[in-house]
Amino acid sequence: MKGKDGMPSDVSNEPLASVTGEEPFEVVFTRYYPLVYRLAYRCTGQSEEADDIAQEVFLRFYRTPPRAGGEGERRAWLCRVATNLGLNALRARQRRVFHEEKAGSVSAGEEEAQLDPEQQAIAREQAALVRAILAELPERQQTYIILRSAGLSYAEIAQVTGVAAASVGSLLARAEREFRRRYHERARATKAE
Amino acid sequence: MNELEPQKQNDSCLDRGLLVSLRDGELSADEMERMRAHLAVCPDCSADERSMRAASEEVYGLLTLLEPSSGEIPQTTLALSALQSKLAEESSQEARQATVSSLTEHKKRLSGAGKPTWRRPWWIAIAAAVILALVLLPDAGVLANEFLALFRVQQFQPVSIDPQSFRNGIGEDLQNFGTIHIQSANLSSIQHPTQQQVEQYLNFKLLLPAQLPPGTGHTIQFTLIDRGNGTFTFNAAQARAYLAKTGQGNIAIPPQLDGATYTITLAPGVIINYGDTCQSKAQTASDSSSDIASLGCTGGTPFYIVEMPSPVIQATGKASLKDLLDFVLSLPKLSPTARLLLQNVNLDTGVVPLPIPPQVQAQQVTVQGASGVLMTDSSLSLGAVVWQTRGIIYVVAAATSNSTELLGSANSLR
Repeated sequence: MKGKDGMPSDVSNEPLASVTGEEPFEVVFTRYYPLVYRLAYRCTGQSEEADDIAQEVFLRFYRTPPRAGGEGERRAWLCRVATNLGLNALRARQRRVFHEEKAGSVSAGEEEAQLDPEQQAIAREQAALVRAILAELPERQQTYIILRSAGLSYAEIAQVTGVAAASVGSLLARAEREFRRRYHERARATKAE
Repeated sequence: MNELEPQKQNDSCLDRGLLVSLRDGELSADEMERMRAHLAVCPDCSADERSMRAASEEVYGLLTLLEPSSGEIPQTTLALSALQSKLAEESSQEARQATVSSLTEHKKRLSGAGKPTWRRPWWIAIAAAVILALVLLPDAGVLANEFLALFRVQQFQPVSIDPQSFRNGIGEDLQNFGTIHIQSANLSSIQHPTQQQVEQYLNFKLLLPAQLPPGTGHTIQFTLIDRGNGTFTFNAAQARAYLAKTGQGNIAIPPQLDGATYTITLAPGVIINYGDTCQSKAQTASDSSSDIASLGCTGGTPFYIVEMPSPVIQATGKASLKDLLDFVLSLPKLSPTARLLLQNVNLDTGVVPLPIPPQVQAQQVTVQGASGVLMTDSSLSLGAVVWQTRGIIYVVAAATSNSTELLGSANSLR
């Protein structure tokens, strides 16, 4: 699905106001599982891990649902928990890779190979690089980028992160610039090697 | 200007945040108009905007690499089943069993310890038949790869059966063709729920009787019934083995049935219990002390109302519910009881058969303007009325076989 300006979007165009009040858990799950899974996958790049995270998100939703609110709050809650868990998993993995590399036990590339035999594909390597850069960003910037790349609107990003909607553009601009700066730094370093 | 350098802006120029907001269509019409007017006359900002767009293209192009391919996204229905399995593992008891056994336990208490155990005959049968019959109900449009059908029971049809035959009937037959899981999950604990809390949790307005059977106490207690979930997954290899073993090897298995999953999901409901006095110790009907007798209401004629939404049915894969029903009915060795019940599933009108054992008298009645079924067991002085209206299934049950009293109470629900 493509959103504005050809950006990827996992978000349906269904107006938020059309769904109000409490709904059976199964209905909420069915509506939001794909979005939650995709958010988690963007962070981890591992299908199984993304599914585990999505399950954990809904388990938390089931056990302690967000206080009564509209559909927007519910979606924001799910996106927030999915992104937090996903990025935590990503950062944990990057830390692990860093320590393993430091200890000389395994390279990042080897770890990828252990995780997925098809990681030799260039696109896969690129995705791993993108995730590595993402993991290096300040935490808030990671969140803005993940949410925006999943197609959330500024109002939704504001709702998930708790910032003012009017500030999202500037925060996103900073995050994108930082992401790009680090990407080019990496590319230059790789070239130099 | 180099996009990676810090912004240099004068007062009238546009900052990067605004340019990004413009890119994303997140500005008001006025703001956009003002910005476009400025971009048209300001070469610096215009260059910045072009640079920003090129940079965005690169950034979001890279981020696109993080998207899962469509094949990597698990089927939602399977993911839901997996989650429900997890929840079920944590749950100590099945909600529906609790609901059913509770009435039995109460009756045992009423009957006295010395009497033979009353083995929950028709309540079990009703609950099981509703679940199993609903699993087999068809719905138009289920041929899509992934489909969620919201099915509402429209009407119940009493069908006389032999309980023993029923117990060995549909359930075992289905198990020969795949796997059945019936699970429940605990609701988040709500201590001593009030009517308002229950309504808020269930999201529908409770109906309470203006008229109670004679001798019934006026104290009310609400007990939440957990969510429940039943899944049947067809397995062609298993089905083929069973058919061969039972001399039905010539029966063709529609290829679309293999792997098809049918899920029935029961949303939470409530048991409303009346007595002279009610203790406030119950939480949900799946707590360890799950029978109604332990819920705390004592004194007076036992009287219960169950209110729960119609189940939600999901069919996944290429096979519809009708495909499954047709296949099961095509089996020459299907038990007579199962066949009788399935034949009483009305595909067009949403009629669900209620299996009625011989000792229970059943008749169709009009309740609250809807068609319902009145069941009485005079030997045990028990009676119940079941009906559906506006998507909610209602059961009014009391320790009386007086049909006038039962119907009077059922019709007085407001």
